[in-house]
Amino acid sequence: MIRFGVFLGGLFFSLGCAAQGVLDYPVNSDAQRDRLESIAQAVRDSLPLGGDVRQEKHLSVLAEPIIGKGSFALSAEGTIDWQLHEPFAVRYKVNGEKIVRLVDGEQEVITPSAEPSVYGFFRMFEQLFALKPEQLYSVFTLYLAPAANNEWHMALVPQKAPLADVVDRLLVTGSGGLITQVTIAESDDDYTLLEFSYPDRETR
Amino acid sequence: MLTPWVWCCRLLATFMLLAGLWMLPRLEINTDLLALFPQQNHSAAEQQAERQLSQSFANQALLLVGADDNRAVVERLPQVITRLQDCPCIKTPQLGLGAEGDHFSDLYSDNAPIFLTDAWRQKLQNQSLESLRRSTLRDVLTRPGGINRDALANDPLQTLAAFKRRALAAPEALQIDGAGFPYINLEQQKFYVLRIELAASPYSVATQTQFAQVLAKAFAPLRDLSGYQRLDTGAIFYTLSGTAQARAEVSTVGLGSAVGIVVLLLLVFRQLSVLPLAFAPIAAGVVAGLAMTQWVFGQVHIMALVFGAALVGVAIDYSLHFFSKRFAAGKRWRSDEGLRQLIAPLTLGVLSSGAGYLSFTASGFPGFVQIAVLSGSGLVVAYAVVIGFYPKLLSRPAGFSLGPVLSKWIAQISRLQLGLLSKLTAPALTIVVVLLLGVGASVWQVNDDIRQMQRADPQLQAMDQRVRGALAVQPALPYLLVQASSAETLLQRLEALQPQLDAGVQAGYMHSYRSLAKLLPSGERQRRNAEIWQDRVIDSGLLASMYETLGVKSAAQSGFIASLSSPVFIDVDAELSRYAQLPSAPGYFVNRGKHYGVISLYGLQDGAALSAFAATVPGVRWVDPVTRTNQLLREYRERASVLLLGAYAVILVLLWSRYGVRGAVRVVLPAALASGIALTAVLFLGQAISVFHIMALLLVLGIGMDYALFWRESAARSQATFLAVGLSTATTVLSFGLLSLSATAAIHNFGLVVLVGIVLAFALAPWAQKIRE
Repeated sequence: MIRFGVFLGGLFFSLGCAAQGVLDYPVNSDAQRDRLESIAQAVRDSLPLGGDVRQEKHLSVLAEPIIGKGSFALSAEGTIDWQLHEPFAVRYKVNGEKIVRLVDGEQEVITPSAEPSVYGFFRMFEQLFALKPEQLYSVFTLYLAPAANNEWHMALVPQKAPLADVVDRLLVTGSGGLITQVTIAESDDDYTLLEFSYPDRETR
Repeated sequence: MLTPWVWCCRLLATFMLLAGLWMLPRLEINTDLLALFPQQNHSAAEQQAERQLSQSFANQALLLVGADDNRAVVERLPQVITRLQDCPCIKTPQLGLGAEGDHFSDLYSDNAPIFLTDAWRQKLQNQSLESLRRSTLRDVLTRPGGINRDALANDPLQTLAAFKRRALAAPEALQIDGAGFPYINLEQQKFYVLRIELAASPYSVATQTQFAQVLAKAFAPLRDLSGYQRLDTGAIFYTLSGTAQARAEVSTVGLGSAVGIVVLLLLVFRQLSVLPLAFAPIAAGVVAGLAMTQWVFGQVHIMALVFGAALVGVAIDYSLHFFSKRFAAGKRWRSDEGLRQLIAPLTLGVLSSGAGYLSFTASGFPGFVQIAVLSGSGLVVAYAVVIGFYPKLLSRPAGFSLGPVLSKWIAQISRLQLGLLSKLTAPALTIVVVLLLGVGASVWQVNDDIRQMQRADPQLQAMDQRVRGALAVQPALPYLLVQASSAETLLQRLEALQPQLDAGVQAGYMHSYRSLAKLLPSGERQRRNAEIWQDRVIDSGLLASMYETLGVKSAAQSGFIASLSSPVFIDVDAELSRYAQLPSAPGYFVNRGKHYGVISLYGLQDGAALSAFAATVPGVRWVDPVTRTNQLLREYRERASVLLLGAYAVILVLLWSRYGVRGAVRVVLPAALASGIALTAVLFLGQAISVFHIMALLLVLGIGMDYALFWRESAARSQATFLAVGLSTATTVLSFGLLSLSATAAIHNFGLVVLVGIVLAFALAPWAQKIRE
């Protein structure tokens, strides 16, 4: 079985009050489900989408988090263009199962079996931005915090291995139809924080 | 005098029947035609390698499931797996493909310095430190999702990840969906991959039955999905199909023979009471024959099973003799007297039939030996039932005689046969023989290709093709066998071969290969890797510099560097000894003090190039079981042909002393001519001659000689004796002739030659006497 060992690096998330609170609201009522569906519809409607991304890797053995900055574009069909500008320029083009990495002008095709972590990351990214609750229900236990203005907070807890072996939970924050932050918490205290911004769009 | 013999027969029949009934549920049916052939022609090492490969892959099955609604499939798959786990026939059901390298997973952990791929070894040795530092940092810092603590501590350069990817490489086509479920795309449809490891041999009928039942139950939740498709690959599906085919053929041959015999018996003897009596020895013989074969060989080959059904036509002969004798005696019938007169010919008959089947063992084919054991033991038990129980059960006279209609038919057929044969003069016969030889020679062709003698289920083959097109999960039959005097030398040899094999992959000779060297480095390579690591990664300061740049805390840095500076070397002897015990880990074994490694080849495209390459490397052998078997089939075809001609020569010489030259030729001619015509007929039908045709001709010779001798020796003008021979021929043709309906080419060919040959041998048999006299 392909492992997700390296996939989705470690993440500590000192959950804070708001995030802690999300886990008190499992999506198990019709009202919750309807609200989740309306958020999901808004997220889906915002495709195609492009913006900036900032990745912070927080590991307990690091004095400071590792920070990367770049941009991304996601089409309605699910193709992803992921570019990191700092600290190094690397670009990933994802089209279905095909992933191409471009470094220093050289192109390399990545197969899922060769780099399951990279493949797994983009699969998760695509699924979050094409938010389809009926698909997520089969993989995650879903939580949705009560409405606060236009912002929403959602938690996704993997139900079973192999995902549950490496990811403790995903915390997703959004505003309207735009996802603004994703936190990937590992089973230890490490975590990854992904922040998305959309200069071309007004965050409602 | 007879009583002890009768009691012996009763005891033997009862014991064998009970033993047979106990053994029947334990039958294992082998459908692999390769299992028919002798193993002595290749080395013990090749035998062991092929046994390991077969065991490893035979117990595995791969199922691909898809539907229009992928989400529904994902939701229901766990339920499918739970249901599969309920079956004792299944050891492991799992999503995705297993990996033999899992055995070494514990060794890989925290031991990066000794596990370096060729590419990383070259990179560490040849690239500048700055270049290494930059490329590694770029990889760590730009990886989507980032690197985690374990990787930073134990595999900072991702060298171990590269080694594991190579060692445990999954097929490129295998994808993982968002839920972690493995799948492949086939013709734009998503198919989830499910691997099953069986708990027992797929040849076991009990396993097959349980497996078929659990499959029907387990996949029920998916079956109602729109666009649901399941693609099955693995030996178990072929054995299931083979057993179903065998059952159908056994039914055809067994039932066909039985129905024919019932009609004949009712036509001739006009008494329903003879039917159970006639079939009791047959049933006992078939059950005992199967049980004996299972006991002797541990399994029953499909070919022996089908031949077992043909026993029906031969085993009935003993009953027919008894019925005919009683029929002929009329009201004067006394069973003890009848038995006294029959005991000698019936005993001689079973001995001669047994001897005939024993001649099959001279072929050296395990398959034919199985047929001989099954048929021989079956006939002995049928004989024992007749001798042991018939005198008691048929103690009263029959009370009727040959009907007038039947008498008329027999007279007409006999007259027609003799009339036609009397018109065939010596010159005409010569012309027929020359024409036959000419036509036969013009269309003569031989074929010793094993692949054309076995037709697998086309639906399964189509599924196999679809799956193999995307997933190379089963190796090709040819393989490379590497030999060395020690485990360490073997690993070094395998390592030395890797660059050439990789070049073979690049050149398109094969898709991929599996070698032990991919999983475990030799002791020498472990030390060399550790030296390179220590020199280029630790002592050069590369690792410390990387940690510094990444901001790893100094306490953590020291711990990581200390750990990565003290690798644990692996004792390859001890590790491979443990590995060799794994039932599903082919690739290594020790035979007579020598160590062997098997390199399995996947998606083989150009065996000739790899074979040529292997010939140039000491200690490496290219083994192609199919070519080897085809060569063997050729040798045995030639050997059987010589045996056949030799048998005719010996019979001619033996008959010469009794009948003179002309008389001997007259007796042999019907069988010889029948064989010639049968062979020409199958050639004309487009069949190429194989060892199975020649073996069938041996049977035609044996049975044809019986008919000819009967005509030569007996008063053939008697209606009752003509009827007895006619009935015997009819039952033999019914049973062996029905083999020609088999879907297995080898059985079909055998049956067709026997069918044509026996009918002609019967028709031409009167030549053995001087017809015009």
